[in-house]
Amino acid sequence: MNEAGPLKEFLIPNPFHVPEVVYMSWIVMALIIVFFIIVRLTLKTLPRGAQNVTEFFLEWIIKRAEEYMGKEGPRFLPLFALLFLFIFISNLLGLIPGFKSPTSNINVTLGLGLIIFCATHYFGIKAKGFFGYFKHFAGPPFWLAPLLFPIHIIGELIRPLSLAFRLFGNILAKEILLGILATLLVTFAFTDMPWIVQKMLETGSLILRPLIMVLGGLVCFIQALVFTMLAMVYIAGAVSTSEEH
Amino acid sequence: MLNFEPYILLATIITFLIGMVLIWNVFLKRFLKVLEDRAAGVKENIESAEKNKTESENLRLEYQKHLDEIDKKVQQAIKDATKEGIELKNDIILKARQEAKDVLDKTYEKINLEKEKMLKELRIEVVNMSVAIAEKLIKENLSHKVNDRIVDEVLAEIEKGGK
Repeated sequence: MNEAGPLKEFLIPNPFHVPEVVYMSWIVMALIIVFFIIVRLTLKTLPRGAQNVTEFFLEWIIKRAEEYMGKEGPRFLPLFALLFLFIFISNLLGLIPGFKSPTSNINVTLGLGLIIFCATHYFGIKAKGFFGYFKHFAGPPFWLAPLLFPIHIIGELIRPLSLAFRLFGNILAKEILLGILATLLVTFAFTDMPWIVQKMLETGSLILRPLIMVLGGLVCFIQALVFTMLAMVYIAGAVSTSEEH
Repeated sequence: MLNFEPYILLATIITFLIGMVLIWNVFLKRFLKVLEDRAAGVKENIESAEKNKTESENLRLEYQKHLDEIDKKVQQAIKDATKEGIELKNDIILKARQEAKDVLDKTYEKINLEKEKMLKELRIEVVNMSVAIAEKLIKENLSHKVNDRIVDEVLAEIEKGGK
């Protein structure tokens, strides 16, 4: 289960041999919590430094949530804020040598998708009542209910899967690409080929790797944003009244 | 790569939920309180500034009113003083004219008196001279009786001529 080598074991100790992806997600969560604790300890009425950044981020989340859900939006701040930060930092973690993005594992992204799935239906039922909520899947027009209800249910079931696979696919692709470039660099260095060709290939890989890392950073942000926005849209759709919807 | 490992899925869900509860309790509650306090403080400051602005505006209007009143009073005082000054000037001129007239009258009166006095003295002098002349003549030509008649006639003529 634990794929760590001796050097990695030394740098990132894992005494209880927890699966690497779980361990990485704990590191991400610990980073977020420690950051928030530091900000909490230095919280002032007049914001400075890290508090400024945190306020900017949280206010941005609140604004987006209000945009989709109206007054109800800020209530979901802990969910959306943590979702974005967890995904973004998890995505970025893979860019650091020796670390692995937890989001490059389908089980993690599926777990996140399931949280959104459960939250969507929990808050939907809470807002509209059990029958009121499921009535929403049946129409209108009500005479098409036998057809629409299963389609809507399938659509709802697909949502966590689509969330999970989108995130997983993008992050895995980024990691594979970076891995391939690193492997190519080493391979070209030790392959017997004309000197000029070898140097050209090595230089190409050397130039491409930082570029892919920058692109990877952008993908990390965009994927976290997309996941969070879609989560907002799903929950907004579930809790909003039919007129708003 | 696509292995389904339920314990990882479960661990992710539990990690996320625990993290969410921790972040809510450790940070977000307090953070939202700070934001609310700040928003309330800003609102209070804005209201206070608005109130101060209204008060200062009222005060400005009041001062302006006072200034206008003072200006009016000053204008009135200047008008009154000017009017009083003009009246005083006219009085002084009138008084001066009156005084000058009095002085002139007195001077004329003195001149007339002097003139009359001089005329009287002149008349007496003329009479004396005439008498002296007549005396000389009469002594040479006439009697006393004729002489007196001539003297009276001459005197009467002189008096007539003096008037």
